[in-house]
Amino acid sequence: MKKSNLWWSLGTMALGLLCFLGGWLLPASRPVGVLWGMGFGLLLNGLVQLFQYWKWTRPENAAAYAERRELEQIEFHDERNIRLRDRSGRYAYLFGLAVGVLALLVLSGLEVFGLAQTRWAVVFLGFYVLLQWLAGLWFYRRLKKQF
Amino acid sequence: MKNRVEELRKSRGLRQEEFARAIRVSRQTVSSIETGRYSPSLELAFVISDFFGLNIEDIFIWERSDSDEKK
Repeated sequence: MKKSNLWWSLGTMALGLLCFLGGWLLPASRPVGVLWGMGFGLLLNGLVQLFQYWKWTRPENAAAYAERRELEQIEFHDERNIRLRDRSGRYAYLFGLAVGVLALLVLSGLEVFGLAQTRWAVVFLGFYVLLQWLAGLWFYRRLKKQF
Repeated sequence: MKNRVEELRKSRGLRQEEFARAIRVSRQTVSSIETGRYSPSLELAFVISDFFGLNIEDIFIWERSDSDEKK
């Protein structure tokens, strides 16, 4: 395992501790709760990464780690897996667009009928959906030129 | 696409995991190829044919349909 994994885990833990410090020093409020939550999440994540680094750098685990890495590389570069990842990405893109459009319709309806103040949410969501659609078109045309 | 991959693999006494490792793909890909659910790319087909020491046509069976004739 690379040394960078160790530095990432220590960095994540340090960031978690910083969040704890911020939560402890600031007066009680909603952002403070977020800081505590982030601190806990980052610290726990860092600890898990540190344990993984310790476990896989032990000499008795060297062979098992090499085997694990080789299988990971095979799975990652497997052509069928690549195809399935690409296809699932397309399905997720279409699903995301559909959900975005539906949410836009619902929020617009709520705003129009005065049931909720959703103007800025509608504006943001509208731009997001438009951007996602344009990005899909742009990537498709770029790939078409490339291949 | 129909193929003889399973037959050839078993004739060499290999498990799916061993064969997958040898041609650098996942065991699930080997299984999908053998059952005809997945057709390998040309590159992978060449790797498989090199592994068995046979031509691609001797391993993968291309069944021409009427629509292919019209192309």
